[in-house]
Amino acid sequence: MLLELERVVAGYGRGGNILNGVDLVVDKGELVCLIGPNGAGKSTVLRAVSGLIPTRTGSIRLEGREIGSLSPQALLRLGISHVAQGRTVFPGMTVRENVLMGGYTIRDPKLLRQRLAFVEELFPIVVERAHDLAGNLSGGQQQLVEMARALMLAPKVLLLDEPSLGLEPRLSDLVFQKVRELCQAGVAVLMVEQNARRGLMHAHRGYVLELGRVRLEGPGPSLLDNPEVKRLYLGESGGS
Amino acid sequence: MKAHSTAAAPAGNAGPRAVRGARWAAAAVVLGLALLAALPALGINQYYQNMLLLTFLFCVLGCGWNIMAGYAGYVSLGQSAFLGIGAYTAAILAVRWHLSPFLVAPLGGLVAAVFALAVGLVVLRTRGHSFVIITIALLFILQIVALNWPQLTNGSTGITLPLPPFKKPWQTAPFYWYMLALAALSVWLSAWIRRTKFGMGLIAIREDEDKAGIIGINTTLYKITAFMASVFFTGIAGGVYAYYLTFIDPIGMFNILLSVQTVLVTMLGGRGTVWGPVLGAFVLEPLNETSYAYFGSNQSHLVVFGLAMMLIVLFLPRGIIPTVGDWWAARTAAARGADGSAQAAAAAGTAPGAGAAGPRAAAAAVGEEDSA
Amino acid sequence: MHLFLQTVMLGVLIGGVYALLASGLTLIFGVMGIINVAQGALLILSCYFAWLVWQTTGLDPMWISILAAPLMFAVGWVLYRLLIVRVRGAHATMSVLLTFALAITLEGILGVIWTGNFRSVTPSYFSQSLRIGDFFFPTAQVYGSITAVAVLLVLYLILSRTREGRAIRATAQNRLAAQLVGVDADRVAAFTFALGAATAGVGGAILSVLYPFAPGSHYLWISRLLGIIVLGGMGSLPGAALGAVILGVAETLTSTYISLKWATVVFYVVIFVVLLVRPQGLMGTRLREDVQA
Repeated sequence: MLLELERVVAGYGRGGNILNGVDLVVDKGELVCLIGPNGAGKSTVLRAVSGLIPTRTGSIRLEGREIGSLSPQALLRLGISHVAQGRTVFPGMTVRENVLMGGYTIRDPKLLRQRLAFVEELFPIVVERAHDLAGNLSGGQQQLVEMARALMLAPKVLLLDEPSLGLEPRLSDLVFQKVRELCQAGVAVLMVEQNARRGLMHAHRGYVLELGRVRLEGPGPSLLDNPEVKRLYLGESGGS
Repeated sequence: MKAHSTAAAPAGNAGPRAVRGARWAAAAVVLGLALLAALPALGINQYYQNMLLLTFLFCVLGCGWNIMAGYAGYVSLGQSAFLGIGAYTAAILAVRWHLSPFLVAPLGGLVAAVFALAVGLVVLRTRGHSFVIITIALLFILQIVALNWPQLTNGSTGITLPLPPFKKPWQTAPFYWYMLALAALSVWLSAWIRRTKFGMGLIAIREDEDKAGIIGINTTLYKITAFMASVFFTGIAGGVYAYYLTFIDPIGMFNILLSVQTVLVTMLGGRGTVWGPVLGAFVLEPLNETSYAYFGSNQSHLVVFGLAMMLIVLFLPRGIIPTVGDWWAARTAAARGADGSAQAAAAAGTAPGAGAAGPRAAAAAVGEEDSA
Repeated sequence: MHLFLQTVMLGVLIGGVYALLASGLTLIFGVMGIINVAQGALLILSCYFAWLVWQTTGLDPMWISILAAPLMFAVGWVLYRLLIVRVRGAHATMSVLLTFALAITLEGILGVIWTGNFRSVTPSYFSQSLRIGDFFFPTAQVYGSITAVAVLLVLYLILSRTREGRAIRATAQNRLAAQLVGVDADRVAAFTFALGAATAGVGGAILSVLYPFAPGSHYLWISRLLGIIVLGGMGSLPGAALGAVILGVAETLTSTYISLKWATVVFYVVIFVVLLVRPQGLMGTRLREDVQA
């Protein structure tokens, strides 16, 4: 397994625990989707994996190596990139500057150019809108720029927090298509989705998180058919 | 974090032991007041009378500031503006009406409160950084107005008040008693507010103003009332202080250092606690006088003052009373045995009991997500 | 009309110097969310440095200002590591009080060494004027503005072309995202604070010729600078430049047409009005925690 979480307990600052022992795994080239109600700890899982908050107990392993206590910078070097929720582009920088910031930790200019070329090929928008301020792009375009930025370090694991948030269906389809392309290229993607139906439809596997623990897991499409998931997340109240 | 320090006060479920404790405390306060009041009659010298008088002045300033900053969470650097308003009101009226400044000093408090009402209506719409900056601006605007409106304030020349009629050795004592009374009233007001629903509302505003509004607190009304309450005695003290100095000018009266000292006194004792400003004043003002006497010049005094302020901010940010209180609580908890503390730790959330941690954890998660 | 144009142009010149002075304050706020009240005291510190070097060597203060930059950069770095780092993440009040304490301490130290008397640096061109067309400008003011704008240009290049500069801009625009791409927030903060101090270093040396200074002058300067960055939008560098020029012109117009006495009140009134009417300033972004909807 590429990424493994075992009985992970975590929370913010001096506050109580948000995660109460989360177990999950993501393999190379796999797209895994986390769903669950508000406050279940979905985003917190991503934050714990990318080192934004420390793991209190339990273990997070990347290729078998314990990484639960490393800093975000160290984890970035090991190949974990995190695209946070909401718009997190640098609005006052151009699209190209944004993407180059993704390679902030790369000191070798040749490697930086190489990665930029790779990302530009994957995301044509990086070339088309290179000199526009990122803050002037639409929400979907910003999401693509953020993904492009996160891929500058050629990560092994990509953490995506609600990539389709606030996007119209056509654009979110484009985002999911890009995510699938990444998986085919061997990147492991751990994705949080509020829109359970859309998330599970695209995912290889899914986890249902509740009160900081994994309640259910299974292949994406089969979770969609699970009666409990249907009732809780896909019924009248679901899908928002 | 801040809430713990102040949450101990409500007397709703007080047992007999607490009642006895409260009686002792009240007795101690009365005794202390009586002792302080008797000191001039007991013949303490002018130097110490002066030092104590200034200590009382800082009690007034600190207790007032504490109502806004400690209870409601609105930290200002403009408290001395209201001292200046009170001083100028008393000085101008005393000179024009040929009355004792002692008599018109309460009008200074009134003018300060009315000014707080007018200014508060607009200024209290800002929070955090903006509020701090705006209060600094307010102070300096008043200073410039006082400098440039000679018809009213005599400009930079300043105003000389009538000479006090008191004869030696009683020339300081009336000021001393007046200021002591104001200090006692300030503490009383602050303690009374702390116990009322109004005080609870202010603390709710400090913890989360938006939520306080949602649960039905009229935040604007509360903040303005608190602002007026926080400057009333300061305004009166301004008049007394002006009379004591017999001379005031804009630079000396609208002085930001006085505001800073007010903040320091309250922070040192414990922001948000009733007795914090009093303790802070009694510690800091004597130190202040000693450092003046020892280092002589105004400049080296500034260095001492600045360094003290840094040390307090860095190492005693919550103040003496909350810090000592927590230390004491931890000590008594430890004395009660390891059994209890282990249970406490388990209850604090490290236990895997998901059901219990649920709603709290969820709320915390939402809060964090907002601020992240 | 001639007087009006002359006044406005002088205001723009003064605004150029103000822009440099305010750049450090707004940069520090943008990156760290801290109002460095000691920025004025750092300015005055640099005034004394310039005065000292000028007295002993006779070097032109404009050159001294270039010397002061690396020196004050170092001072800023040390101050950050020693003091400021300890109040990061604490409530806004703490950082205001700490930097206020720093300002008072610096004021006291300068006063102990050089007394509270006003000084000024008076190079040969101190009382001369330059004639440009039909207009006359104080030579020192012209030199000062040129130096200030040149240094601002360098600052702009640092921010847009260097790795550290990009990290600063990224952190100011989106702290979380900067962290996610591997920017070390603490290092960037130290660099920003030091850079802010360096701008105060250059600015102080320029000021030493333009205005008499004393240890207590820092209050006046921090008020002016706060007015500028509040108007421009706290944290915005272009905003600070715009605010500086507007207030420079407003100040000279007030002192020409109303009275010198009321010139400084312009800054306080601007702070007051802007924070109430448009808290995000001309070019800033709205701070959720600072303002009620």
